[in-house]
Parts: sequence; C-alpha cells; structure tokens
Amino acid sequence: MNDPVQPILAVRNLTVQFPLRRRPGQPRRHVHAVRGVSLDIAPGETLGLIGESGCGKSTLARAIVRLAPITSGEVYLAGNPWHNLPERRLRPLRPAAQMIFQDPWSSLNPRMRIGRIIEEPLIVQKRGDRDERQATVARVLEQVGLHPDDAGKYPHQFSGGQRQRIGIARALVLEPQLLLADEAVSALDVSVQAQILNLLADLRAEHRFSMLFISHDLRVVEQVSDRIAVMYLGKIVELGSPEDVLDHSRHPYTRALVEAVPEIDARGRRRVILGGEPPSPINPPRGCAFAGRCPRAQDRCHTEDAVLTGDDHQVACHYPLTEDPG
Amino acid sequence: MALLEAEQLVSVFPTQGEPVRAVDGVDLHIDEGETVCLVGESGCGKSAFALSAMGLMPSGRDAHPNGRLHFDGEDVLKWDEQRWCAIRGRDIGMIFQEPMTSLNPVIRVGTQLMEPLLIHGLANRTDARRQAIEALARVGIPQPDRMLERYPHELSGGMRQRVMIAIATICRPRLLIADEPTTALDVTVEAQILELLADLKQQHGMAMLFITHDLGVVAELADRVYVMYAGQIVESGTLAQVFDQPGHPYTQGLLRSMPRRHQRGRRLYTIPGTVPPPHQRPSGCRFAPRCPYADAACEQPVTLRDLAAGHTVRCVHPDRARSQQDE
Ligand SMILES: Nc1ncnc2c1ncn2[C@@H]1O[C@H](COP(=O)(O)OP(=O)(O)OP(=O)(O)O)[C@@H](O)[C@H]1O
Ligand SMILES: Nc1ncnc2c1ncn2[C@@H]1O[C@H](COP(=O)(O)OP(=O)(O)OP(=O)(O)O)[C@@H](O)[C@H]1O
Ligand code: SF4
Ligand SMILES: [Mg+2]
Ligand SMILES: [Mg+2]
Repeated sequence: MNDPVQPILAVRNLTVQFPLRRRPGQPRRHVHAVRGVSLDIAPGETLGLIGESGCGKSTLARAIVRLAPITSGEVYLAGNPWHNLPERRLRPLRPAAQMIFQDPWSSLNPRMRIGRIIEEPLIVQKRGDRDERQATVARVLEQVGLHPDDAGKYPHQFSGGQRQRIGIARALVLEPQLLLADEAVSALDVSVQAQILNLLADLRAEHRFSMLFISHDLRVVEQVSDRIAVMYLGKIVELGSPEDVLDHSRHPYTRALVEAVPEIDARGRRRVILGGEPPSPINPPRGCAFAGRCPRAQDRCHTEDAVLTGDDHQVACHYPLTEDPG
Repeated sequence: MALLEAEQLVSVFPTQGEPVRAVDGVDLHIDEGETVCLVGESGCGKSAFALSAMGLMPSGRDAHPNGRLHFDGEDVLKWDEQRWCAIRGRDIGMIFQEPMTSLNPVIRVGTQLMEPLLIHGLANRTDARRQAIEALARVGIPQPDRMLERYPHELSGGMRQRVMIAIATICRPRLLIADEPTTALDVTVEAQILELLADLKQQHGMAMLFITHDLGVVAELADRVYVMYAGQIVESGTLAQVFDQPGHPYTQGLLRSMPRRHQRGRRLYTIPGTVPPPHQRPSGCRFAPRCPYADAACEQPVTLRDLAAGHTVRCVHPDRARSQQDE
C-alpha cells in the first residue's frame, strides 16, 4: 500500500448527501449516497467497483468528476486538489478525467454527426484548429475500431456496440489520465461486450490511462481489474486484488456477491440468495450497515462502526471470514 | 397445445425508406407454464418479436401471407386494438427493456400499479390499493405502502425494475414477456428477481418468454432456449441440447465469448464482424460472412433442420461446428 508512485486518483473520506424535499414540520433529511470513501488508483491501474444497486457507485464516480455535489472529503487528481475548485478553474482541468456512460443510446445527441460529437470536447477545450481537430477525430475513430468516414454519420446509423465505441472515442479524444466507466458494457450483448472489453484492454496498454470500472457483473470486473473494491450502502467494505477479494473473500457481503454470480457451468442451480434489502440510505443504521442481513453478525456489529483495515487486502468487518471453507 | 405459437412470423418496422423486417420468419412456441429464453446479438430482433407477441408491431398477413401467431389457440393476427387492450396487461404481462420508457416518471408508483387492475375491472380502488401493496411486498420492496407515494425517477435501477415486475404481474398473467429485465441489475438483486419470477411461475403456472444476453442467467432459468440471428431463429432446443451440444456456429461463438469466472486478464473470444443490417442480409446463410466453417453450400438459403427430437438448427454443417466444440 505504501506505493511510492503518486496515485492518479486519491479519494479521501468522500461524502455525498442529496437533500430530500422537506416534509412539513420535519427537519430536512438526506440520502447518504457516499459515506466516507477513501481509495487510490495508481497510474495505469484499473480498479473495479462492484456493489448492489443503489449502493452509491455511480454517485461516487460522478462526484469524482464533479458531476455530483461533494458534501465533504477530498479528491486529488495526480496529486492536485480537485474537490474544492470552482467550475471556472475546473473546466480547463476536466479533460484529465472522463466518463463513459452505460447507455450508448441516450448519451449521444441524436442530431449531431459523430465527428462533431467527438470533436466537441476539443472545441470546448479550445484545442487545435479545425484541421487538427478533425485529424484527431479520425485517429480516435480508428483507435476504437470505427472508420474515419463514420464521422459524417448520425448516432442512429450505428449499432449499440458501435455507439459504445463512439462514447469511448469521445472520452478518449482528450487523452484523459483517468477513465471512469460506469456500467459501460452492461447494455451490450456478450459478443459485443467481449469486443469492447478487448478494446479497452488494448487502449489501456497503449495509452496507460487509469480506470475506475463500475459494473454489476462480477465476471466482467474480474476480467479487467487489477484491484477490486466492494461497496455497500455508501462505503467500501472490501478492497484488494481479484484473487483476495473474489477467491478469498473476507467480508460476508462479498462472499454473498460471489455466490450470486450466474454461471453457465452451474446449470439449473438455485443460487444462494442473499435475503433482505440494503437499509435505507436516508437513515443509515449504526454499526455495520450489512449487519441486518449478515449470517455472522453479533451484537457489536449493530452498534460499532466497522472500519476498513488491512494492508493490501482491506476489509471492514468485525468478524471477517478467515479461510475459505471450500 | 402451445400457449403462444409463432410460425413463419414476419414483423416490420415501417420506415420512411424500405420497411425493416425485424422479425423475418420466426418459428417459436411456448407451452403453458414453460420458461423459454430468447438470446441473440443486439439488433437481431428479440425486442421486435416481444412487441409482436404483445400486438404492438405491424405483423399481420400484410407483412407475410404465411405468418401465423396464436395465443391460447386464437389467431391473434385477426385481433383489433380493442381486443388487444383487453388481453395486454391481463393475460400477457410485459416487462420492457428500458424501464424508464414504460414507467411514467411523473406519475406516482401507486397509481401506475393500480391502473391495470382498474382498467381491466379486476378490482375497485380500495382493493386495488391493497393488491398494489401486496405486489410491491412480493417483489421485495421494503415499506411497500410508502413506495406507493413515490415517483419512478426517485428510485434506483433495481427498485424501478421491481416496480416494473410488480406492475407486469399484478393481474397474474398467463404469459409474462420479460425483455432483459435484469440486465441493469447487480447479481444479488438479479438472483432475487429470478427467484421471484420462478416463484410466480410455480405458484400461478405462469409461462415466460425471457429475453437476455446473459447465458449464465439462461443456464439457470430456461426450460428451452431459442437463439436468434438477423431476424431468424438459428437454433432451438432444451437447455442441455443448446448449451452442451450447440449445433450452430453462432451459438458456439456466443457461448465462447461469455466472460466466466477465473479468466482474469485473458482475452475474450469475439465473433468476427458484425450483424448485417436488415437491408444487407446475405441471401444464403445469414451468418456465413462471420462463420469459420462457411463454404459454397452455405450460399443457398438454409432452413431449420432437426438434429434431435426438439433440437433444431439452421446450418448446413452442424457437424463441423460440433467436432470443433469437442476439442
Ligand atoms: N440526484 C439524486 N437525488 C437524490 N437521491 C439520489 C440522486 N442520485 C442518486 N440518489 C440516491 O443515492 C443512492 C446511490 O445511488 P447511485 O445511483 O449512486 O447507486 P448505484 O450504486 O450507481 O446504483 P445502480 O447499480 O442502480 O446504478 C441511491 O439511494 C439513489 O436513490
Ligand atoms: N422503431 C424502429 N424503426 C426502424 N427500425 C427499427 C426500430 N426499432 C428497431 N429497429 C430495427 O429492427 C431490428 C431489430 O431490433 P430489436 O430492437 O428487435 O433488436 P433486439 O434483438 O431487441 O436488440 P437489443 O439486444 O439491442 O435489444 C434492428 O435492426 C433495429 O435496428
Ligand atoms: S450454414 Fe454455413 S455459414 Fe451458416 S453457420 Fe452453418 S457453417 Fe456457418
Ligand atoms: Mg449506477
Ligand atoms: Mg431489445
């Protein structure tokens, strides 16, 4: 963990709360979407982020790129504070961190030609003249496996996988140091998904960008990640290498996630199903947020916060699993 | 008798130019209480088939004179919109691929949930409210009475999908058409929802057409599987037939490109090329330009042939594909 290399991304104790509409006669309440997250991503590293729906993955990514409001905590990009910059000073720095969104349909303006969609960030950033920009667009299109002539077409003329390539091209055109891929392959069918995952691997090898890779598909996250973080109700509960986190899970929630993976080879299996629901992020419980669903919970778990501890393999649990019982 | 039966079904999207034959001669049947999975690459026509089975696409005899579509023995291509409205949501429930297009973001969940019961005259308001709360509890939503007051835009993806399922099944349909209902969900919620659908199937003998691109989910859920490519069915059979002895090179490609556990950092297999757009489909086997086993014999139109009882494949060289599979 005491890596001498400066991380591309350092997140410290990040908190995001969304205010709720006030009910008459009641104090204002908040959705506690991200509750004190700290993590680092090294240059060239891909950190996979998994966790249940609503646990705060997208909000974390959006807060990192300042698309969601940061309530407290710090974000450093290549060592520079980023959480407290006003929009005016943020804009010229934004290229460093780019997002790829889940939905290749709604994230592209249907009335803009592809070339313009990809050129737009360059125009906003006042990069190069028209000819230079168009040369860049052509180059990026080729990098993502499209044809330079595709610049003249509109989004509806492309398949879902091709549109996701366009989304990636748009994210890459500013040569970011950090890519945040939020369910970037989830909407794609397997063969296209495989193409995009291979493409991301190739681009990563070539450009050495770092990546925060969010997916609910643990098989995909395992495929691409150097390390994996598991999130539950706004907090990281386990963090480490894929081997540590998936094969030697220490947090009972991670174990439940791993066991829930649908597998071709496990025919007609009834998965071990994690019962219950995550608690409401409006009223996060005291103690470990997983306690109410956890088979290992003791009294202490309901009262005392479980803090993320450990060196390379970190876990936030009072009674972590020790050895894989097989 | 099959509950739903399509034969040579053709459905078209009318466009300004040439109409798009999204469903181009599909044979598919679903028996009472059976779970059938439909898989295939993006754009191959899965959603279009689902829409056809809900009477939401121009299919009729104008599209293709030999096309047939029967529900519960009735020729539904003859149905008018009024008849469809009586069936849709009551006998056939549907979960659409994109929840936000079918859930109205600015109408309360409760109102949207009670609507099918009220429209079909299955309950009065008090009763509908009670059933709405029950339906939300059944899909695992905590504090269901409070959920009634909320708006879809306030919910996370998983919650929205549960609400969708609650709406689609509130009238206890005989057939549920679920178009990628768990694609956007994480595995624990997916596992719960698949279990929920399996329970609904068991308790009410509900049949299901389940569209997904996750072959892991298919492995867990399906009684039978249909593989679709470029508007046609290219393989069908029981789960074991299709997954263990795939006869079509495309089915094999899909199975091989699936990410699996313990394949860290390994390059995934990809099927070369892309699906031909509807207006550029080859006249012979539609998969031929991407197929490793294609030869001159594949340049003629290929019909579905039986490999074994209940196992059909649209390929002239299923043996080539299979000998490769065994290696
Ligand atoms: N703009 C907002 N206003 C209020 N609450 C919000 C807002 N955006 C997100 N939330 C809430 O914050 C929590 C975290 O949501 P987020 O979208 O980050 O989860 P997620 O992990 O990305 O889930 P999913 O897997 O469903 O995409 C949820 O409870 C969600 O309802
Ligand atoms: N409204 C429309 N007008 C014209 N063509 C359409 C329309 N909707 C879909 N198509 C075309 O019809 C074909 C079948 O589309 P469909 O949506 O059924 O595919 P799908 O198999 O459901 O794909 P996915 O896995 O991406 O959901 C595609 O070629 C698509 O481009
Ligand atoms: S018919 Fe020929 S081209 Fe088509 S899938 Fe079979 S071997 Fe390949
Ligand atoms: Mg999200
Ligand atoms: Mg579809």
